[in-house]
Amino acid sequence: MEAISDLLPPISILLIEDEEVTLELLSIILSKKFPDIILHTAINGRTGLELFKTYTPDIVITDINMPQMDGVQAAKNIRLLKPAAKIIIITGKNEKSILQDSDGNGFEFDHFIMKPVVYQDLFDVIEQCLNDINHQ
Amino acid sequence: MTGILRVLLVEDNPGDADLIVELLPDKCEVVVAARISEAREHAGAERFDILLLDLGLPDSNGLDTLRTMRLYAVELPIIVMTGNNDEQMGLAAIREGAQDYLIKGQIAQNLLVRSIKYAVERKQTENALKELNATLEERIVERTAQLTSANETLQFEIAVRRRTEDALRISHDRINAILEQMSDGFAAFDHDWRYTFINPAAAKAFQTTPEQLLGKSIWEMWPPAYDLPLGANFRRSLQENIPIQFEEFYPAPLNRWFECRCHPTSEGLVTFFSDITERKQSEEELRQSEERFRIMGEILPYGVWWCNAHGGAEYCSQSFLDLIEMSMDEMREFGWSNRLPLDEIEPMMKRWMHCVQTGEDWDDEHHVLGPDGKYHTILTRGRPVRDNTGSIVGWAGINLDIDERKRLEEVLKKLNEELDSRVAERTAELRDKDQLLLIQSRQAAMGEMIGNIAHQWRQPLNTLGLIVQQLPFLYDIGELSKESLDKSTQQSMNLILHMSKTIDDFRNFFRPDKEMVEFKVSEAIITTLSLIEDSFKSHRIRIEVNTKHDPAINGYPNEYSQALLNILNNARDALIEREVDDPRVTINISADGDRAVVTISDNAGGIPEEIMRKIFDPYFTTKGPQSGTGVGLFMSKTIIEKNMGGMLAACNIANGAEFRIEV
Repeated sequence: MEAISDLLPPISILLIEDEEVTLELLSIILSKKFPDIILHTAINGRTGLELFKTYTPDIVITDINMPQMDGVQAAKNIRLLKPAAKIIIITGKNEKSILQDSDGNGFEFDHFIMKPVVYQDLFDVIEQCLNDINHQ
Repeated sequence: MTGILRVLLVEDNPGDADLIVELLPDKCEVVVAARISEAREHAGAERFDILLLDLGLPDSNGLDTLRTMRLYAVELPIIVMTGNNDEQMGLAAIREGAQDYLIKGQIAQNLLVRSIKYAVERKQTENALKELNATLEERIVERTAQLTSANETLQFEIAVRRRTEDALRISHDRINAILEQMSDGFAAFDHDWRYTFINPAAAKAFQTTPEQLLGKSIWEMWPPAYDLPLGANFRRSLQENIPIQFEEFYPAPLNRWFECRCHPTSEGLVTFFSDITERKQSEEELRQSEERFRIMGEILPYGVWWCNAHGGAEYCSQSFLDLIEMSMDEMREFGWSNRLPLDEIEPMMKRWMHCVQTGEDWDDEHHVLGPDGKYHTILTRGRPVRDNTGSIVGWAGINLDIDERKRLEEVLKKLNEELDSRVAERTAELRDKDQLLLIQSRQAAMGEMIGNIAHQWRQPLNTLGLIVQQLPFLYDIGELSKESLDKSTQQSMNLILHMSKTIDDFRNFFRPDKEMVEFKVSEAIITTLSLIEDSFKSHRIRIEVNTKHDPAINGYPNEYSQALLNILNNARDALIEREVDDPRVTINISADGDRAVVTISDNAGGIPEEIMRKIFDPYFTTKGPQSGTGVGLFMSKTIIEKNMGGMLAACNIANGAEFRIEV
């Protein structure tokens, strides 16, 4: 198992979060929890999309409500660029309903995490994504 | 000759005298005078039958003697005695009035007697003749006087007759002139109904000329007339020899009313026509006018009345007659007063007579006995009717049944009370509704606010959660240091303070303004935006604020913010509902004179024209029962216009709606 994972290129995650403190906290926790992954962070959707184009990460974790380009818009573009990318949405309850209402045009996210974020939930879905990627 | 013959012998010669006496018959009584003066005395004092006069006397001579004696003895026959051969003197004496003469010396007895006899007779004849003559003269004078008088009378009569004739001629001319010129028509007919005279006015009235009618029969010229009242009246006037006057309407082509007077004369019939169409029309108008007033009078309870100048009633409406149960004749003058209560008659009459005398308006209340045996209260009002000189010719007025009015007043009062109570009920209902509206409005605002708080808190709560969770995580991996603990605590406290401030902001916002204060419009807008910015951010709605001026206004800042909030929330909802790309809200702050002007515009496509009129109505909403209460804009308008004396209006701009708030 270890050998395989060593052979494979490292898994990379793009984290998009417009709230600075939250971005900092999440990036610290994630880099500590998943020391093997490469973590990219972006403060808004536009920067996130640009970073995605550069690094084509495997997993995208994005807040849904952001200025410049919101999470949904960014995720849609990402899905176009790399259909296999795993997309995890962090959302408030109302935002979730909006997301459900507006996903009729083919866009599907892989997971969503409700605010306030419980780390374990986030860790679980990331683990799940990693598993999915490794089994492909 | 009978009895004694008295002889006056005037002879100065006594011899001659004795001779004569001797010659006189026995039955003679002789008085002798020698002088004329003696003779005069005798002739004046005594009666004699004959005077024998010698012309040659001592105191008179010749014819003078005769003339003297004729003066003193007018009726006495005189025989003068002349000298020898003096016949000339004798004849002259006869011419002077002596009856005979004797020549002295030739006097014989028989001659003397015969002379005396003839002289007496001659004198008597002469006297009788004289007397007859005198009578004749007298009668001539008398007759002459009679003739003169008769002549004068005749002259007078002739003059009178002449004047009468002149007058008659003038009169005739005048009548002709009058007939020619008068406006009345005049036509004369003979016994065979032929026109013998027709004046221009009549010809004009009949629409013809006199020449066409003269000599022709009226029945030929105007056949329908025979069967008209005119024909019957003409014939009757002539047959019964009476004047007749009548009025008649003549249809087309005349279409006029005429008054006609016809008088029978020895020559036929004379007729006068006058066109009374205008009078008839006036009469008809007057009648209709009077009829109108009568009808109006009948409609009013107890109607109208009129009186003559001295206050006596002449007419009143039937309704009043019915009330007092009198006929018009019984009511007339002061008959109606019999229906007044006894104690009211005198004072009321006094008041009425006062009005009649002064011409003051009549306005009185009294009672009259009705057919139901009860006294009815009557309000009567009247005014004097004046002719064009201002003199009062009568009075006109109305009677009003106040019983009815009082009953109606009662009904009205009851209706009013009912209305009042219904108004009160309705007002209470409305107040309840307003209350409900207020509560709903507040609840809606609360709901909005809770939504906003949720937005405001969601992010910091999330962050706080992450910080808290980070601590055991760091502890588990052995990296929980003093430094990281302090940092986490600091981050947590920052978030908690921020959230606390948010709560304070909302609480302040909900605290009602107690009094008007001066505040800056821009500050109110910043406060408002701070409450909703997260909500807008979550929908990616950009808010742009342009501040041209920063005016301050006097008012209620929280209410003002609430008004802004309602408008901003509507803009947000519209932008979300219509899924606008690049949703945007623009707020412009400026000043117009001393008024602060804030416009809030969006790019959500605008308000449909058909609802533009209703958007400020209470309970009007486009959002459906779950999300809209329909009180937001209503409250905003109330706050801005009623509470702060400003103006709130909405209009559509290029790609959205714009609300303009002026305070």
